[in-house]
Amino acid sequence: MKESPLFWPASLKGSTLSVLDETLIPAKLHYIQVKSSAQAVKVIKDMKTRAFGQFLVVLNSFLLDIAQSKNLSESALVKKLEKTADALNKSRPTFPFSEVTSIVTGWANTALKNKMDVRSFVSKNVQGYLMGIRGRRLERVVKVADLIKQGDSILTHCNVSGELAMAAAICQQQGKDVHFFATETRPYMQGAKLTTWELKRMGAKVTLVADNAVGSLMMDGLINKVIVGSDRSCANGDFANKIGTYQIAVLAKEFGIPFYVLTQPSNKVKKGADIPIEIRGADEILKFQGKKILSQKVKGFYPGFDVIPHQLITGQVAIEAGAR
Amino acid sequence: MKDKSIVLLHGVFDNAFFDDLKKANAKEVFILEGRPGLNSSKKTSRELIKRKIQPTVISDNMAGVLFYKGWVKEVRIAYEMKARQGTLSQIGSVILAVLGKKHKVSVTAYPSTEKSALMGSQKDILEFTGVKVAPDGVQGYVPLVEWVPKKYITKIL
Repeated sequence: MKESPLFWPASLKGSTLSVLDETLIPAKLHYIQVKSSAQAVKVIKDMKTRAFGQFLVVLNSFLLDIAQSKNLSESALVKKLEKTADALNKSRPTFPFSEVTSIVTGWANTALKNKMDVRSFVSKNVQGYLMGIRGRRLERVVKVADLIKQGDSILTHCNVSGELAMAAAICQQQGKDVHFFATETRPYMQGAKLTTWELKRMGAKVTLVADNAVGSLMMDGLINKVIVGSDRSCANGDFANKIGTYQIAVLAKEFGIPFYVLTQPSNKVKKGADIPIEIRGADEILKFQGKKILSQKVKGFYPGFDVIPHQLITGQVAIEAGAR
Repeated sequence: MKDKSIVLLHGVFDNAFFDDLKKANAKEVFILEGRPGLNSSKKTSRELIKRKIQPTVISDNMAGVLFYKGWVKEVRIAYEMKARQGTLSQIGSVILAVLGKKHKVSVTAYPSTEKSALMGSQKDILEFTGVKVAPDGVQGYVPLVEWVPKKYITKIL
């Protein structure tokens, strides 16, 4: 399967984690060399990576700790891993990093309690976990390709971390004629920079639109399906995703357009209302590349995420079981 | 943010509109950027500040969360033309109008001082404030206005 760089944007080589700097795409394909878990937390906070890339960085942070703590006792290492987990959990409030970090610290504590080799036990489990996720994501790419039909005109928002682009490549091999519309996704422009870039790289037809053109597209019948990713799922089927997703879902429902979401099901949070929405700094929308966008002294408000109630979703393409 | 506290503006309005807004003592006035030209936020923020009303800018994709949270008190959009079927308004107005209907928030359309082209140029969307953002070879679709069906508008002035 042809792979997009955004599908697996962080890999550990020796004691260095190479993280794709998504903020430099499409101008440059550059990997940040991360050498410590503290640096990994910074990469997440600075949004150099996002979505699935964050998940990879979180898991690999523990491997970095292990690689750099050869002289620590087993109990000191467990404490270090717990400290790293705490820093990762606090790095971005909307993301459920604790759901993953608690698994890793759980392994570490189990190994310590049972007098096992903590380093080896945690490393093998993390690596196995990563490979399992990789396999299930590849399976989901195939399911997304199945969801896409001949002649579809698909709206997507933000970026689906390689999976939509790889599904587009499969559709091409299957001879399906498909068109994508990507919203630019202010303020970081992930749609304009990443989604158009990777879809085009995969040979797909893609058109860029402003975030506010969605109503016009839907009313004029220019799209017949919406496919988006998700950052967090709830037990009742609600999910959180990049800001802008909620209004797309509401309009899709209004205009009778099927709305699909790629999810990682979780029962840790009961419903969408329980997900905290991260409010980021106003400068992130009032400035672009360090320069003020408006000359007037205006305030800004930047909620980073939307919560989408399950009633607005036509179908989920879940990571384990497929569309349901 | 308090429930039903935000007046959400989108489009380019005339002076009388802003004078009325001042008289109404609007506190939380939010404006959308108004891609691709950002005209809406540039012109509206200037008029608001002139009248000592502090505007808060959000990106065009951030209106939904304000409705979801129940913070929006009313929506005011501008129109360049009105007809039996609705108003010809700045792109993005349909999103606000549909959100208004779903969340039972009133949507009022006011006359605009603008006369926009129907479509913008590719460059308008492939760049942001003059900086290229999209990769080479990507096409853009740039509607600048859209018809807002009357069923989504509470009142047209």
